[in-house]
Amino acid sequence: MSGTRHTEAKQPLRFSGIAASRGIAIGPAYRYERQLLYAEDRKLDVSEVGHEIERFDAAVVKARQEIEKVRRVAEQKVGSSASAIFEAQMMMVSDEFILSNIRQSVKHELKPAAFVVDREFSEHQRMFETGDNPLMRERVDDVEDIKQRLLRYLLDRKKWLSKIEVPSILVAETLTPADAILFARSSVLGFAIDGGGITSHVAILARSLGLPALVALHSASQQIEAGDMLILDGERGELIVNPDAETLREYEQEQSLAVGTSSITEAPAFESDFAGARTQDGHAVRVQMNLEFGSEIAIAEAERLSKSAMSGGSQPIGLGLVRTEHFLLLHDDFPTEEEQSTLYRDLADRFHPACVTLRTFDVGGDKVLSGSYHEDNPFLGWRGLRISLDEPDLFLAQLRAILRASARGNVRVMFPMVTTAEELVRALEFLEQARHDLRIKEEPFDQNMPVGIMIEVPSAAIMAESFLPMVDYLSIGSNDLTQYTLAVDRGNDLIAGLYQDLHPAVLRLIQMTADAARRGGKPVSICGELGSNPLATPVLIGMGISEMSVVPTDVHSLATRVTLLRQDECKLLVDHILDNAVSAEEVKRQILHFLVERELIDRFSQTALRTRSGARMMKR
Amino acid sequence: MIRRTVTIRNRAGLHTRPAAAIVKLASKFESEFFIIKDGFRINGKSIIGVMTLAAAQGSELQLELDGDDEEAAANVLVDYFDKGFEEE
Repeated sequence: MSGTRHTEAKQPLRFSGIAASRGIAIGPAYRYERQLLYAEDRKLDVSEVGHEIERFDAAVVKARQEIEKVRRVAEQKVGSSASAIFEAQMMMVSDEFILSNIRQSVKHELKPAAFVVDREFSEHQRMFETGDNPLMRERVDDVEDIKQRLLRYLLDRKKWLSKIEVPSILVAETLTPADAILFARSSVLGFAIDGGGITSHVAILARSLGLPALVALHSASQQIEAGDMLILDGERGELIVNPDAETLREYEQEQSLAVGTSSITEAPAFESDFAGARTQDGHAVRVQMNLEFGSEIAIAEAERLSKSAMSGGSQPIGLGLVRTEHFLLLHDDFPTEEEQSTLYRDLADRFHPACVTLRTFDVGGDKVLSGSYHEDNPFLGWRGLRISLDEPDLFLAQLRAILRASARGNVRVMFPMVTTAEELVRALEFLEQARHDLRIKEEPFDQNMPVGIMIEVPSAAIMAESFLPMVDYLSIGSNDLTQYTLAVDRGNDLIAGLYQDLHPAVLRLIQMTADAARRGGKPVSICGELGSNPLATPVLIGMGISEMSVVPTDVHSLATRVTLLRQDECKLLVDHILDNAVSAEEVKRQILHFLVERELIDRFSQTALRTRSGARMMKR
Repeated sequence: MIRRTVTIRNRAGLHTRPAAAIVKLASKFESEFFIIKDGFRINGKSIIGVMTLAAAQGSELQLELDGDDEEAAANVLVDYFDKGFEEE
């Protein structure tokens, strides 16, 4: 066993993966391996039966205790919505029908409890898999989890260690959501996972837990021993094993810088009269937040930031994008109108008077409910507004819930994945129907609730002009726009390098959208990750984007960058880039040159380090 | 013994939450309760059993109840199915 032995002689190794959750972690490796257990058959002696059944009952009690514990931790860590997964598991492990079947088989067939448990649960798993309700297929893993818990006890295997004694970086081939939750409770510094993609449940949980994570590391875990010193770089997507002293020192410095300056108590760059910042030549940029995840923790954090801006004398910061589908993440299906209305109204109240932009469900593609049925090309398939238009009851319920939350006048609605003008026309008809329903019920709502669309499909960017008369604002979703423009799935680690959000093709589409909006006299915002990229700030300002919505931790650094720039200069930079650059590399070079010329590079680096974003590009 | 035919009305089908609710409702009654789908017969008081039906929207199921309170149990259960599991 290599244990915590860390010798000087070990050669440094580097692995690249996908940065799924930001930040830098430095610490020893903790190797997590969960082997699947199988049970052997044998013939019991009649005298063994009583004891065997006692062991089985004890295993069930043990499993219940464990699941209850996970449920409680989940509730504490990510809110009660997350614990629903584990409630269902609890009912399954308490299923008296299955349990008594197992006892009967042990007794009459004289088979070991472990063997019967394996057989009985596996049989049900097969039925889940072959049923015609796709939602249930996802439940196979829950049953596996229960089966493994029982087997572990019956086969006298060690308890899965979901506790780390020394602060460590967890290294594993795969990790279940339950594992992530449990490890987050002890001193885990970050997750380094062989499998997964940026949208996997583990990635999402890591982000909401605020722990750095790398996924898609291929077979890195096989080459890492327990106790190896690791640097997990959630900015550059790199895992460094047994780094040399100099690298370690550099990272420790960067880490302390990031930690030391991320505090929001620093002098805010916000203007006193609105939630945003002004460029040196006086152009206003409104800064807003994206709400990533439907957990109480994420909402409370955003609320705290919003209020802190207000206490600094500016307006509270609003929500430029609320991904409503994230509230569904841990549920089996869509919440009712009543549940949604409560949820949305609560958000609107907490952020009042700041604006809350509710985007209607954007499921499908990479999102949570993608397993509902099989599509050859889910990203080009049934997703976003397309699903809503095909499911009128669902869509109307959501629109009514959003309208009901709008009564205090600070709610906006936004449609995702709009591809053609006809779709928008139909969506607006539904909205009118929802308004009509509420009028009949005499429910109060904002008659002038602003309506906007996401520009994230190239066709919508090209045809932006045709949508403008029907909407109040446009919002550019840079992540999907990049994926669709460059035909690259950034969750696919084989081609993730092709995901270049500063590619001139993407920038030209953003420019077309911004130009159309300006001609139509409507505001245009950006709510993709491009807003957080320090290099993109001068470009977006130069294009005349008047509103940027970023993850809550990035709002202050973005505002700071805005105050350092002049819009007229940024405009020239953009013209130059769009005229000349033919690759993302060239775009970056030109922006860096622009920043160096203005002696802004150091201050930009600082804003990048402060939130630990974009540090790689800035470092070069 | 009585049998009633019901249809899955809600969009998400017979998933975990309604499965749990059905088991809870049925457990209040003494009668034995089975659900039959495509010739497949499962114990309606077993959550894993009900989940394995994995019935999608539009599926037809037969509820079979046997016991002293079968009539009352059938009414409660059929009502819950008819209301689309109170989801829409």
